Amino acid sequence: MQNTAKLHTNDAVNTTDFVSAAIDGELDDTQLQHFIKNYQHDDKHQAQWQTYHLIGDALRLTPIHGPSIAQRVSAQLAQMPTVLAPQRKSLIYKYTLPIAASIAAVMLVSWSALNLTTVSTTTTLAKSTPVNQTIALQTAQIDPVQLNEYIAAHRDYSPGINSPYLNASYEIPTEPSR
Amino acid sequence: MRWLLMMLACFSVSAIANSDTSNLNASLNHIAKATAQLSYSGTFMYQHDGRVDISHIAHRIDAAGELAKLDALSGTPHAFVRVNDAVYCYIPDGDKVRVERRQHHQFFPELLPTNTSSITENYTLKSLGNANIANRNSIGLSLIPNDSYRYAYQLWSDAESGLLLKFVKLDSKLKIAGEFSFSQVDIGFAPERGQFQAGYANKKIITLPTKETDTKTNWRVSKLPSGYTLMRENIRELPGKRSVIHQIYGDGLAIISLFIEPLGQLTGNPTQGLSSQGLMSLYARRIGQYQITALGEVPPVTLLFIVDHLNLMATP
Repeated sequence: MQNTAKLHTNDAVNTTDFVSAAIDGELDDTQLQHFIKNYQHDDKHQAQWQTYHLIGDALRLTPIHGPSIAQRVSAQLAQMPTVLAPQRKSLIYKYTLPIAASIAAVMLVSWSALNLTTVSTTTTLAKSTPVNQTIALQTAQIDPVQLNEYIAAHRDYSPGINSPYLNASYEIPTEPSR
Repeated sequence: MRWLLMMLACFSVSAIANSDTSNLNASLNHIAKATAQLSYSGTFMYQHDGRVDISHIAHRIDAAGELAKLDALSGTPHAFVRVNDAVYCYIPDGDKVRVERRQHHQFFPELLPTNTSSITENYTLKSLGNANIANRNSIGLSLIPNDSYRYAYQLWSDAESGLLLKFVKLDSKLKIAGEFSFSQVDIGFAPERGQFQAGYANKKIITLPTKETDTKTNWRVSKLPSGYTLMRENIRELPGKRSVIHQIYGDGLAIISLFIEPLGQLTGNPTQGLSSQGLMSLYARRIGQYQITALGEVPPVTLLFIVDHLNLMATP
Protein backbone atom coordinates (compact mmCIF):
# COMPACT_ATOMS: atom_id res chain seq x y z
CA MET A 1 0.00 0.00 0.00
CA GLN A 2 2.76 2.37 0.93
CA ASN A 3 4.52 1.64 -2.28
CA THR A 4 1.41 2.30 -4.28
CA ALA A 5 0.80 5.56 -2.45
CA LYS A 6 4.34 6.60 -3.16
CA LEU A 7 3.91 5.84 -6.82
CA HIS A 8 0.89 8.08 -7.00
CA THR A 9 3.00 11.06 -6.04
CA ASN A 10 5.48 10.36 -8.79
CA ASP A 11 5.36 11.94 -12.16
CA ALA A 12 4.58 9.07 -14.51
CA VAL A 13 6.70 10.43 -17.34
CA ASN A 14 9.71 10.88 -15.08
CA THR A 15 9.29 7.36 -13.82
CA THR A 16 9.29 5.98 -17.31
CA ASP A 17 12.36 7.98 -18.26
CA PHE A 18 14.10 6.78 -15.18
CA VAL A 19 13.25 3.16 -15.82
CA SER A 20 14.46 3.36 -19.38
CA ALA A 21 17.63 5.18 -18.32
CA ALA A 22 18.22 2.50 -15.73
CA ILE A 23 17.72 -0.23 -18.26
CA ASP A 24 20.05 1.43 -20.68
CA GLY A 25 22.64 1.54 -17.96
CA GLU A 26 22.75 5.33 -17.99
CA LEU A 27 22.36 5.77 -14.24
CA ASP A 28 25.32 5.87 -11.94
CA ASP A 29 25.14 4.05 -8.64
CA THR A 30 23.81 7.04 -6.71
CA GLN A 31 21.02 7.62 -9.19
CA LEU A 32 20.28 3.95 -9.22
CA GLN A 33 19.93 3.88 -5.48
CA HIS A 34 17.72 6.95 -5.58
CA PHE A 35 15.60 5.30 -8.23
CA ILE A 36 15.23 2.12 -6.25
CA LYS A 37 14.43 3.95 -3.03
CA ASN A 38 11.59 5.71 -4.80
CA TYR A 39 9.89 2.36 -4.94
CA GLN A 40 10.61 0.88 -1.60
CA HIS A 41 9.99 2.06 1.85
CA ASP A 42 12.74 0.22 3.63
CA ASP A 43 15.92 -1.62 2.96
CA LYS A 44 14.61 -5.12 3.24
CA HIS A 45 14.94 -5.66 -0.48
CA GLN A 46 18.63 -5.00 -0.16
CA ALA A 47 18.78 -8.13 1.96
CA GLN A 48 16.73 -10.10 -0.50
CA TRP A 49 19.12 -8.96 -3.12
CA GLN A 50 21.79 -10.94 -1.34
CA THR A 51 19.88 -14.08 -2.09
CA TYR A 52 20.52 -13.52 -5.73
CA HIS A 53 23.80 -15.21 -5.16
CA LEU A 54 24.07 -16.25 -8.74
CA ILE A 55 23.81 -12.70 -9.94
CA GLY A 56 26.41 -11.73 -7.39
CA ASP A 57 28.71 -14.47 -8.55
CA ALA A 58 28.19 -13.37 -12.08
CA LEU A 59 28.99 -9.76 -11.21
CA ARG A 60 32.20 -10.73 -9.50
CA LEU A 61 33.30 -12.50 -12.62
CA THR A 62 32.35 -9.66 -14.86
CA PRO A 63 33.62 -6.10 -15.17
CA ILE A 64 31.07 -3.69 -13.73
CA HIS A 65 29.57 -1.76 -16.60
CA GLY A 66 26.25 -0.82 -18.15
CA PRO A 67 24.31 -4.06 -18.43
CA SER A 68 24.89 -5.01 -14.80
CA ILE A 69 22.85 -1.98 -13.81
CA ALA A 70 19.91 -3.07 -15.91
CA GLN A 71 20.16 -6.44 -14.32
CA ARG A 72 20.25 -5.08 -10.81
CA VAL A 73 17.31 -2.79 -11.42
CA SER A 74 15.16 -5.48 -12.93
CA ALA A 75 16.03 -7.98 -10.24
CA GLN A 76 15.13 -5.50 -7.53
CA LEU A 77 12.01 -4.33 -9.29
CA ALA A 78 10.95 -7.92 -9.68
CA GLN A 79 10.94 -8.10 -5.90
CA MET A 80 8.36 -5.35 -5.61
CA PRO A 81 5.05 -6.57 -6.90
CA THR A 82 3.04 -3.81 -5.20
CA VAL A 83 4.55 -1.27 -7.54
CA LEU A 84 2.87 -2.96 -10.43
CA ALA A 85 -0.65 -1.88 -9.55
CA PRO A 86 -2.29 -2.47 -12.93
CA GLN A 87 -4.46 0.62 -12.91
CA ARG A 88 -1.43 2.86 -12.54
CA LYS A 89 0.65 1.37 -15.30
CA SER A 90 1.39 3.44 -18.31
CA LEU A 91 1.80 1.37 -21.44
CA ILE A 92 5.51 1.99 -21.60
CA TYR A 93 5.94 1.13 -17.94
CA LYS A 94 3.92 -2.04 -18.41
CA TYR A 95 6.12 -3.33 -21.19
CA THR A 96 9.42 -1.99 -19.96
CA LEU A 97 9.57 -4.19 -16.90
CA PRO A 98 9.13 -7.50 -18.70
CA ILE A 99 11.78 -6.36 -21.17
CA ALA A 100 14.11 -5.50 -18.31
CA ALA A 101 13.43 -8.88 -16.81
CA SER A 102 14.17 -10.65 -20.04
CA ILE A 103 17.37 -8.72 -20.50
CA ALA A 104 18.33 -9.72 -16.98
CA ALA A 105 17.45 -13.30 -17.74
CA VAL A 106 19.59 -13.39 -20.83
CA MET A 107 22.51 -11.92 -18.98
CA LEU A 108 22.16 -14.27 -16.06
CA VAL A 109 22.10 -17.15 -18.41
CA SER A 110 25.00 -16.03 -20.47
CA TRP A 111 27.08 -15.32 -17.41
CA SER A 112 26.30 -18.59 -15.80
CA ALA A 113 27.14 -20.24 -19.06
CA LEU A 114 30.68 -18.86 -18.77
CA ASN A 115 31.28 -21.33 -15.99
CA LEU A 116 29.93 -24.28 -17.80
CA THR A 117 31.44 -26.39 -20.46
CA THR A 118 28.60 -27.55 -22.53
CA VAL A 119 26.46 -28.69 -25.30
CA SER A 120 25.86 -25.59 -27.35
CA THR A 121 22.35 -24.62 -28.06
CA THR A 122 21.21 -21.19 -29.03
CA THR A 123 18.29 -19.53 -27.43
CA THR A 124 15.75 -17.47 -29.26
CA LEU A 125 15.81 -15.10 -26.32
CA ALA A 126 19.50 -14.40 -26.68
CA LYS A 127 19.30 -14.24 -30.45
CA SER A 128 16.68 -11.57 -30.53
CA THR A 129 17.83 -9.45 -27.63
CA PRO A 130 19.95 -6.64 -29.02
CA VAL A 131 22.29 -6.29 -26.03
CA ASN A 132 23.29 -9.89 -26.31
CA GLN A 133 23.29 -10.52 -30.00
CA THR A 134 26.62 -12.24 -30.03
CA ILE A 135 26.10 -14.46 -27.04
CA ALA A 136 25.13 -18.01 -27.73
CA LEU A 137 23.35 -19.41 -24.76
CA GLN A 138 24.69 -22.64 -23.47
CA THR A 139 22.96 -25.35 -21.61
CA ALA A 140 24.02 -26.18 -18.14
CA GLN A 141 26.01 -29.34 -18.10
CA ILE A 142 23.55 -31.67 -16.60
CA ASP A 143 23.81 -35.29 -17.50
CA PRO A 144 21.30 -35.55 -20.40
CA VAL A 145 19.93 -38.84 -19.08
CA GLN A 146 19.38 -37.34 -15.67
CA LEU A 147 17.79 -34.23 -17.17
CA ASN A 148 15.48 -36.37 -19.23
CA GLU A 149 14.34 -38.14 -16.06
CA TYR A 150 13.52 -34.81 -14.47
CA ILE A 151 11.63 -33.71 -17.55
CA ALA A 152 9.72 -36.99 -17.70
CA ALA A 153 8.67 -36.49 -14.08
CA HIS A 154 7.70 -32.89 -14.78
CA ARG A 155 5.63 -33.90 -17.80
CA ASP A 156 3.06 -35.61 -15.60
CA TYR A 157 2.18 -32.19 -14.28
CA SER A 158 2.91 -29.96 -17.22
CA PRO A 159 1.44 -31.31 -20.45
CA GLY A 160 3.39 -30.90 -23.62
CA ILE A 161 6.65 -30.20 -21.88
CA ASN A 162 9.44 -31.57 -23.94
CA SER A 163 13.13 -31.45 -23.59
CA PRO A 164 14.63 -28.59 -25.52
CA TYR A 165 18.00 -29.66 -24.22
CA LEU A 166 17.90 -32.94 -26.03
CA ASN A 167 17.02 -33.73 -29.57
CA ALA A 168 15.06 -36.74 -28.45
CA SER A 169 11.63 -36.96 -29.93
CA TYR A 170 8.58 -37.37 -27.78
CA GLU A 171 9.19 -40.30 -25.53
CA ILE A 172 7.79 -41.65 -22.33
CA PRO A 173 10.67 -42.92 -20.29
CA THR A 174 8.56 -44.69 -17.70
CA GLU A 175 10.77 -47.73 -17.95
CA PRO A 176 14.29 -46.48 -18.53
CA SER A 177 16.74 -49.04 -19.78
CA ARG A 178 18.33 -50.70 -16.81
CA MET B 1 -23.36 20.66 -15.47
CA ARG B 2 -20.42 19.95 -17.71
CA TRP B 3 -18.44 18.74 -14.73
CA LEU B 4 -21.24 16.49 -13.70
CA LEU B 5 -21.43 14.98 -17.18
CA MET B 6 -17.69 14.42 -17.27
CA MET B 7 -17.75 12.74 -13.92
CA LEU B 8 -20.64 10.57 -14.99
CA ALA B 9 -18.77 9.67 -18.14
CA CYS B 10 -15.70 8.73 -16.11
CA PHE B 11 -17.72 6.60 -13.76
CA SER B 12 -19.50 4.76 -16.54
CA VAL B 13 -16.21 4.09 -18.38
CA SER B 14 -14.69 2.58 -15.27
CA ALA B 15 -17.89 0.68 -14.54
CA ILE B 16 -17.82 -0.80 -18.03
CA ALA B 17 -14.16 -1.71 -17.60
CA ASN B 18 -14.91 -3.40 -14.29
CA SER B 19 -17.86 -5.33 -15.59
CA ASP B 20 -15.77 -6.41 -18.60
CA THR B 21 -13.14 -7.76 -16.26
CA SER B 22 -15.64 -9.64 -14.14
CA ASN B 23 -17.30 -11.03 -17.29
CA LEU B 24 -13.95 -12.28 -18.56
CA ASN B 25 -13.11 -13.76 -15.16
CA ALA B 26 -16.49 -15.47 -15.09
CA SER B 27 -15.98 -16.86 -18.58
CA LEU B 28 -12.57 -18.26 -17.61
CA ASN B 29 -14.20 -19.93 -14.65
CA HIS B 30 -16.91 -21.28 -16.95
CA ILE B 31 -14.29 -22.75 -19.33
CA ALA B 32 -12.52 -24.50 -16.44
CA LYS B 33 -15.74 -25.98 -15.06
CA ALA B 34 -17.19 -26.95 -18.45
CA THR B 35 -13.96 -28.65 -19.52
CA ALA B 36 -13.88 -30.68 -16.31
CA GLN B 37 -17.57 -31.62 -16.41
CA LEU B 38 -18.42 -32.20 -20.08
CA SER B 39 -18.30 -35.46 -21.94
CA TYR B 40 -16.47 -35.21 -25.26
CA SER B 41 -14.14 -36.98 -27.62
CA GLY B 42 -11.85 -35.70 -30.31
CA THR B 43 -8.45 -35.48 -31.90
CA PHE B 44 -6.01 -32.77 -30.95
CA MET B 45 -2.61 -31.66 -32.06
CA TYR B 46 0.21 -30.26 -30.04
CA GLN B 47 2.47 -28.08 -32.15
CA HIS B 48 5.78 -27.05 -30.70
CA ASP B 49 9.37 -26.55 -31.82
CA GLY B 50 8.49 -27.35 -35.42
CA ARG B 51 6.91 -30.68 -34.47
CA VAL B 52 3.36 -31.93 -34.20
CA ASP B 53 2.14 -34.58 -31.77
CA ILE B 54 -1.31 -35.98 -32.46
CA SER B 55 -3.49 -37.57 -29.79
CA HIS B 56 -7.03 -38.75 -29.35
CA ILE B 57 -8.88 -37.88 -26.18
CA ALA B 58 -12.12 -39.29 -24.80
CA HIS B 59 -13.77 -37.95 -21.68
CA ARG B 60 -16.90 -39.28 -20.02
CA ILE B 61 -18.70 -38.01 -16.97
CA ASP B 62 -21.45 -40.22 -15.60
CA ALA B 63 -22.94 -41.30 -12.29
CA ALA B 64 -19.82 -43.40 -11.60
CA GLY B 65 -17.53 -40.41 -11.98
CA GLU B 66 -14.90 -39.47 -14.53
CA LEU B 67 -13.23 -41.55 -17.21
CA ALA B 68 -10.59 -40.16 -19.52
CA LYS B 69 -8.37 -41.79 -22.08
CA LEU B 70 -5.60 -40.36 -24.15
CA ASP B 71 -4.13 -42.30 -27.06
CA ALA B 72 -0.97 -41.09 -28.70
CA LEU B 73 -1.49 -41.26 -32.47
CA SER B 74 2.05 -40.16 -33.26
CA GLY B 75 5.44 -40.84 -31.74
CA THR B 76 6.00 -43.65 -29.25
CA PRO B 77 2.67 -45.48 -28.89
CA HIS B 78 1.22 -45.11 -25.43
CA ALA B 79 -2.06 -44.46 -23.71
CA PHE B 80 -3.18 -42.92 -20.47
CA VAL B 81 -6.37 -44.02 -18.79
CA ARG B 82 -7.73 -42.06 -15.89
CA VAL B 83 -10.50 -43.41 -13.68
CA ASN B 84 -11.39 -40.61 -11.30
CA ASP B 85 -8.05 -39.91 -9.59
CA ALA B 86 -6.23 -43.06 -10.64
CA VAL B 87 -4.03 -42.69 -13.69
CA TYR B 88 -2.49 -45.60 -15.57
CA CYS B 89 0.05 -45.32 -18.33
CA TYR B 90 0.13 -48.12 -20.93
CA ILE B 91 3.16 -48.65 -23.13
CA PRO B 92 2.92 -51.49 -25.62
CA ASP B 93 6.14 -53.34 -26.36
CA GLY B 94 5.90 -56.25 -28.75
CA ASP B 95 3.51 -58.83 -27.33
CA LYS B 96 3.60 -57.17 -23.92
CA VAL B 97 2.20 -54.00 -22.48
CA ARG B 98 3.74 -52.23 -19.52
CA VAL B 99 1.35 -50.60 -17.13
CA GLU B 100 2.35 -48.04 -14.58
CA ARG B 101 0.21 -46.32 -12.01
CA ARG B 102 0.88 -42.59 -11.83
CA GLN B 103 0.06 -40.14 -9.09
CA HIS B 104 -1.18 -37.70 -11.59
CA HIS B 105 -1.16 -37.01 -15.28
CA GLN B 106 -2.68 -33.95 -16.80
CA PHE B 107 -3.61 -33.64 -20.43
CA PHE B 108 -5.34 -31.33 -22.85
CA PRO B 109 -8.00 -29.97 -22.68
CA GLU B 110 -8.12 -30.22 -18.88
CA LEU B 111 -5.41 -27.66 -18.35
CA LEU B 112 -7.19 -25.20 -16.07
CA PRO B 113 -7.51 -25.52 -12.31
CA THR B 114 -10.98 -25.74 -10.80
CA ASN B 115 -10.27 -22.54 -8.92
CA THR B 116 -9.22 -19.87 -11.40
CA SER B 117 -8.69 -17.04 -8.92
CA SER B 118 -4.90 -17.40 -8.92
CA ILE B 119 -5.08 -16.86 -12.68
CA THR B 120 -7.40 -13.86 -12.64
CA GLU B 121 -5.33 -12.26 -9.88
CA ASN B 122 -2.05 -12.60 -11.75
CA TYR B 123 -2.98 -12.26 -15.40
CA THR B 124 -4.93 -9.56 -17.21
CA LEU B 125 -7.68 -11.09 -19.32
CA LYS B 126 -8.67 -9.64 -22.66
CA SER B 127 -11.13 -10.79 -25.25
CA LEU B 128 -9.71 -11.98 -28.59
CA GLY B 129 -13.06 -12.17 -30.38
CA ASN B 130 -14.39 -15.16 -32.29
CA ALA B 131 -12.77 -17.79 -34.48
CA ASN B 132 -13.60 -21.14 -36.01
CA ILE B 133 -11.72 -23.99 -34.35
CA ALA B 134 -12.49 -27.63 -35.23
CA ASN B 135 -15.66 -26.38 -36.95
CA ARG B 136 -16.90 -24.83 -33.74
CA ASN B 137 -17.59 -21.19 -33.11
CA SER B 138 -15.09 -20.34 -30.42
CA ILE B 139 -14.24 -17.33 -28.33
CA GLY B 140 -10.73 -16.27 -27.44
CA LEU B 141 -9.18 -14.93 -24.26
CA SER B 142 -5.67 -13.62 -23.86
CA LEU B 143 -3.98 -13.86 -20.48
CA ILE B 144 -1.18 -11.36 -20.08
CA PRO B 145 0.86 -11.69 -16.88
CA ASN B 146 0.80 -8.81 -14.43
CA ASP B 147 4.44 -9.36 -13.50
CA SER B 148 7.53 -11.00 -14.94
CA TYR B 149 7.19 -14.34 -13.14
CA ARG B 150 5.14 -16.05 -15.84
CA TYR B 151 4.49 -16.12 -19.56
CA ALA B 152 1.33 -15.21 -21.45
CA TYR B 153 -1.31 -17.59 -22.79
CA GLN B 154 -4.30 -17.59 -25.11
CA LEU B 155 -7.34 -19.75 -24.60
CA TRP B 156 -10.07 -20.50 -27.13
CA SER B 157 -13.25 -22.12 -25.93
CA ASP B 158 -16.41 -23.43 -27.54
CA ALA B 159 -18.94 -20.58 -27.55
CA GLU B 160 -21.82 -22.96 -26.90
CA SER B 161 -20.49 -25.35 -24.24
CA GLY B 162 -17.40 -23.62 -22.85
CA LEU B 163 -15.09 -26.57 -23.63
CA LEU B 164 -11.47 -25.50 -24.07
CA LEU B 165 -10.65 -26.03 -27.75
CA LYS B 166 -7.25 -24.42 -28.07
CA PHE B 167 -4.51 -23.52 -25.63
CA VAL B 168 -1.61 -21.36 -26.77
CA LYS B 169 1.62 -20.75 -24.89
CA LEU B 170 3.35 -17.49 -25.68
CA ASP B 171 6.97 -16.60 -25.05
CA SER B 172 8.36 -13.42 -23.50
CA LYS B 173 7.90 -11.62 -26.82
CA LEU B 174 4.29 -12.79 -27.04
CA LYS B 175 5.13 -15.09 -29.94
CA ILE B 176 3.49 -18.50 -30.11
CA ALA B 177 5.77 -21.11 -28.58
CA GLY B 178 3.40 -24.07 -28.34
CA GLU B 179 -0.21 -24.79 -29.07
CA PHE B 180 -2.73 -27.50 -28.24
CA SER B 181 -5.70 -27.47 -30.58
CA PHE B 182 -8.59 -29.76 -31.37
CA SER B 183 -8.79 -30.64 -35.05
CA GLN B 184 -12.06 -32.50 -34.56
CA VAL B 185 -14.28 -32.76 -31.53
CA ASP B 186 -17.69 -34.11 -30.51
CA ILE B 187 -19.07 -32.35 -27.47
CA GLY B 188 -21.81 -33.58 -25.18
CA PHE B 189 -21.90 -37.20 -26.35
CA ALA B 190 -20.55 -39.55 -23.70
CA PRO B 191 -18.21 -42.08 -25.34
CA GLU B 192 -19.17 -45.70 -24.50
CA ARG B 193 -17.48 -47.08 -21.38
CA GLY B 194 -15.86 -49.77 -23.52
CA GLN B 195 -13.83 -47.10 -25.28
CA PHE B 196 -11.90 -46.50 -22.08
CA GLN B 197 -10.37 -49.95 -21.94
CA ALA B 198 -6.71 -49.78 -22.71
CA GLY B 199 -7.22 -51.99 -25.76
CA TYR B 200 -4.26 -54.27 -25.19
CA ALA B 201 -6.33 -57.32 -24.24
CA ASN B 202 -4.20 -59.64 -26.39
CA LYS B 203 -0.93 -58.55 -24.83
CA LYS B 204 0.74 -59.75 -21.69
CA ILE B 205 0.42 -57.15 -18.97
CA ILE B 206 3.51 -56.26 -16.99
CA THR B 207 2.66 -54.09 -14.04
CA LEU B 208 5.45 -51.78 -13.00
CA PRO B 209 5.80 -50.68 -9.41
CA THR B 210 4.74 -47.11 -8.96
CA LYS B 211 7.69 -44.77 -8.70
CA GLU B 212 5.97 -42.00 -6.81
CA THR B 213 4.55 -41.67 -3.34
CA ASP B 214 2.96 -38.67 -1.67
CA THR B 215 5.07 -37.22 1.08
CA LYS B 216 5.53 -34.24 3.31
CA THR B 217 9.06 -32.97 3.73
CA ASN B 218 10.60 -30.12 5.66
CA TRP B 219 11.67 -28.34 2.50
CA ARG B 220 9.70 -25.13 2.20
CA VAL B 221 9.92 -21.98 0.11
CA SER B 222 9.71 -19.03 2.49
CA LYS B 223 8.40 -16.68 -0.16
CA LEU B 224 6.82 -17.51 -3.51
CA PRO B 225 6.08 -15.17 -6.42
CA SER B 226 2.48 -13.95 -6.43
CA GLY B 227 -0.08 -16.67 -7.13
CA TYR B 228 2.29 -19.63 -6.91
CA THR B 229 1.58 -22.39 -4.40
CA LEU B 230 3.06 -25.76 -3.56
CA MET B 231 0.61 -28.11 -5.30
CA ARG B 232 2.13 -31.50 -4.60
CA GLU B 233 5.05 -33.16 -2.97
CA ASN B 234 6.23 -36.64 -3.91
CA ILE B 235 9.13 -38.95 -3.40
CA ARG B 236 10.08 -40.21 -6.82
CA GLU B 237 12.36 -43.05 -7.61
CA LEU B 238 14.73 -42.42 -10.48
CA PRO B 239 16.84 -45.08 -12.17
CA GLY B 240 19.84 -46.21 -10.19
CA LYS B 241 17.80 -46.44 -6.98
CA ARG B 242 17.96 -42.70 -6.61
CA SER B 243 15.21 -41.25 -4.52
CA VAL B 244 14.40 -37.59 -5.10
CA ILE B 245 11.92 -35.21 -3.56
CA HIS B 246 9.72 -33.79 -6.30
CA GLN B 247 7.79 -30.64 -5.44
CA ILE B 248 5.35 -29.13 -7.90
CA TYR B 249 4.55 -25.43 -7.75
CA GLY B 250 2.11 -23.56 -9.95
CA ASP B 251 0.03 -20.44 -10.38
CA GLY B 252 -2.83 -22.25 -12.12
CA LEU B 253 -1.17 -22.13 -15.54
CA ALA B 254 2.60 -22.11 -15.14
CA ILE B 255 4.02 -25.26 -13.54
CA ILE B 256 7.41 -25.65 -11.90
CA SER B 257 9.13 -28.82 -10.71
CA LEU B 258 11.72 -28.76 -7.95
CA PHE B 259 13.90 -31.82 -7.44
CA ILE B 260 15.82 -32.16 -4.18
CA GLU B 261 18.33 -34.92 -3.57
CA PRO B 262 21.36 -35.53 -1.36
CA LEU B 263 24.65 -34.72 -3.06
CA GLY B 264 25.96 -38.06 -1.87
CA GLN B 265 23.83 -40.02 -4.29
CA LEU B 266 25.02 -38.07 -7.30
CA THR B 267 28.17 -39.00 -9.11
CA GLY B 268 30.72 -36.39 -10.07
CA ASN B 269 30.32 -32.72 -9.44
CA PRO B 270 26.72 -31.66 -10.00
CA THR B 271 26.20 -28.59 -12.12
CA GLN B 272 25.14 -25.25 -10.82
CA GLY B 273 23.73 -22.62 -13.08
CA LEU B 274 20.82 -21.12 -14.87
CA SER B 275 19.79 -21.88 -18.38
CA SER B 276 16.88 -21.09 -20.62
CA GLN B 277 15.71 -22.11 -24.03
CA GLY B 278 12.42 -21.29 -25.61
CA LEU B 279 9.89 -21.40 -22.80
CA MET B 280 11.85 -23.87 -20.74
CA SER B 281 14.10 -22.68 -17.94
CA LEU B 282 16.42 -24.73 -15.80
CA TYR B 283 18.22 -23.75 -12.62
CA ALA B 284 20.49 -25.93 -10.53
CA ARG B 285 22.29 -25.08 -7.32
CA ARG B 286 23.44 -26.63 -4.11
CA ILE B 287 21.86 -25.96 -0.72
CA GLY B 288 23.88 -27.49 2.10
CA GLN B 289 24.43 -31.12 1.24
CA TYR B 290 21.61 -31.20 -1.32
CA GLN B 291 21.42 -30.65 -5.02
CA ILE B 292 18.39 -28.64 -6.14
CA THR B 293 17.18 -28.74 -9.74
CA ALA B 294 14.28 -26.55 -10.80
CA LEU B 295 12.65 -26.51 -14.21
CA GLY B 296 9.53 -25.36 -15.93
CA GLU B 297 8.05 -23.25 -18.68
CA VAL B 298 8.51 -20.02 -16.76
CA PRO B 299 10.92 -17.07 -17.03
CA PRO B 300 14.33 -17.86 -15.48
CA VAL B 301 13.79 -15.24 -12.77
CA THR B 302 10.90 -17.30 -11.36
CA LEU B 303 13.16 -20.30 -10.77
CA LEU B 304 15.83 -18.07 -9.20
CA PHE B 305 13.28 -16.57 -6.88
CA ILE B 306 11.80 -19.86 -5.76
CA VAL B 307 15.00 -21.83 -5.31
CA ASP B 308 16.71 -18.96 -3.53
CA HIS B 309 13.90 -18.92 -0.99
CA LEU B 310 14.01 -22.66 -0.43
CA ASN B 311 14.96 -23.79 3.07
CA LEU B 312 15.15 -27.01 4.99
CA MET B 313 13.03 -26.23 8.04
CA ALA B 314 13.68 -27.76 11.45
CA THR B 315 10.01 -28.72 11.73
CA PRO B 316 7.43 -29.20 9.02
